[in-house]
Amino acid sequence: MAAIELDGVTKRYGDVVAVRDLSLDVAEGEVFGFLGPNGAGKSTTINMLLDFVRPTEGEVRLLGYDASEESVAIRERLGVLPEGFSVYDRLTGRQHIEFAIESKDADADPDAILDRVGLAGDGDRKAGGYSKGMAQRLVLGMALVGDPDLLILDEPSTGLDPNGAKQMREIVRAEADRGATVFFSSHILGQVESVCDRVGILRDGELVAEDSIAGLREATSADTVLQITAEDVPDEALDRVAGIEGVSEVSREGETLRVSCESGVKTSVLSELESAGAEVRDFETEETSLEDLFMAYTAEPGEVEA
Amino acid sequence: MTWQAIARKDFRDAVRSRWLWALSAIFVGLFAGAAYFVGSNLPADPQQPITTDAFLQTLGQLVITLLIPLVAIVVSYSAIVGERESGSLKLLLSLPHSRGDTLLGKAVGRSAVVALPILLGLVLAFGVLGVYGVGLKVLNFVAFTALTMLLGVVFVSISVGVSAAASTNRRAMLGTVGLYFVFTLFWGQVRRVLLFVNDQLSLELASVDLMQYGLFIKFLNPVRAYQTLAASLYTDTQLQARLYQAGRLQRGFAQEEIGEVPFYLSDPFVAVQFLLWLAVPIAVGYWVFEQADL
Repeated sequence: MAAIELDGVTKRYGDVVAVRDLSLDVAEGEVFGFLGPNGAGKSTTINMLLDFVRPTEGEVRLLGYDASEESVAIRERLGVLPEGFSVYDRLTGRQHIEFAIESKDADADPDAILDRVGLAGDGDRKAGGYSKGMAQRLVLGMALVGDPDLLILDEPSTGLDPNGAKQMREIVRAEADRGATVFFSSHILGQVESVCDRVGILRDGELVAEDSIAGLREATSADTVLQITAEDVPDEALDRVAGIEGVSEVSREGETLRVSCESGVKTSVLSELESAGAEVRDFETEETSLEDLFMAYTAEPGEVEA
Repeated sequence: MTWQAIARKDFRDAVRSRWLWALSAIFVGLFAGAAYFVGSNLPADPQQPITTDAFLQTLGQLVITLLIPLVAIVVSYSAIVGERESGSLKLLLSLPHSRGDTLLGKAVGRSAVVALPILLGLVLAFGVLGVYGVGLKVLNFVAFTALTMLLGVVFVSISVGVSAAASTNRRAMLGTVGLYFVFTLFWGQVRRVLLFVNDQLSLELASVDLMQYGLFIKFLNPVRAYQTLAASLYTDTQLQARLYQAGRLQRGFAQEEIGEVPFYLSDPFVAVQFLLWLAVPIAVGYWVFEQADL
């Protein structure tokens, strides 16, 4: 059974289509990164998972339940870090956790949870005085109460410093190891790659890609670019390099050669050049960055080159 | 059913925000103060013994009916829409609470915030009256206390219903304050609809019928229903209680013409109308809230 199933989901606000015909399955135990630039429809989609908004068309199911009709049954097994929340100013951090424990009828130790999210010394302070990052940690703590089967985290790293973001990733990984499914959104790809089994990329309310990070790289033919500084390169050497299997493009500018190729053939390229009489003085490789990859999916066609 | 958890949290929140203490101070000051005033001005002449009913009569009309609905509105108009605007509703609804439980929990929590200070104030007032030797009619006083707490709860229910249906705090405030003025000041205009209909459709209702239907409309207003139910505690007949505000002339006419009140002006019927105000606003608010995109 899939932990999350979206089937032909569309959400319109008047004339504006926030999400268009979205179909997506997230398997149980999977860590799924939901990516896209701001305004792509990520939060609308997550709000439909949480039954904060109802789809105009299509079906949403979580843990086998209908997202709207059986929302309470879902939320008994769900942990949520929503976007755009605010905490209860007058309640302390610990009281927030206790409210979650009471609501979920769970058996958990508030202090252990506060400790886990890095708020060990702050449980008795009123949450109204928390920074954005602390509030984020607190609500993550509420989400972890009762060991939920599914965690939905909307932009979890918002307001966190690099160390906090790292802790967040460690918690996501630990929850996944426990067997929980984790679905989280981000507009920053770098936060996602190390923890996600699979990602989906949303653009203008439509899913434009759904794959593992490695799969995405392959699909965008994102090669390694070798930048070689060499002297005395005969023209025929260029032809021979271009003939190597796995090399897609060779160009020359003065003493600099740029060779796009699969990363496995880098050494063949270099040895081919040398055997043709060129003197290689220096070389660098540029991996296609994840950001390039992300841009390739989310930028408008034609904009990519610019 | 998880509304208890929400009610408890909401009530604790009110305790922390000192609402409960402020209201307790207001109602204790008001009720105990009025009791002191009544008690310390007892006529020396023991021929006409004064009982606590006199206290109910003075307090039960203007002061309570203007103050308690207002207090209930101020305490609860933003109960739900306030959380919706700030975003804390997202925390609440991320936990396993249905929207219905949220609404019910909020209504119960805020009701306690309004009703407990009323109870405290009236209990202390009863004590003060006893100290001054005012004749204690315990049952009447208990019934009056219950009715008055209910009046508070009715207006909490109206406000929470509006709060659930409104999309912004501002609308909830305008809606509840508008209803407050309709119920406390302009209800007479609503009654005029009857005369208008009678006129336009040439129904030519007898004036005694017009009067009875007019009273029926009057007691659709929870404030007026409260007043007449309170009046029935110290009047002899149901008709007298229904005519608690009428002038001498009107009273005489009515007593001659009506005699026994029709069922729709009887105590139980008016009580049911009053109690409907507990349920109907919450139900309407729920109906809108349930369908809303948050």
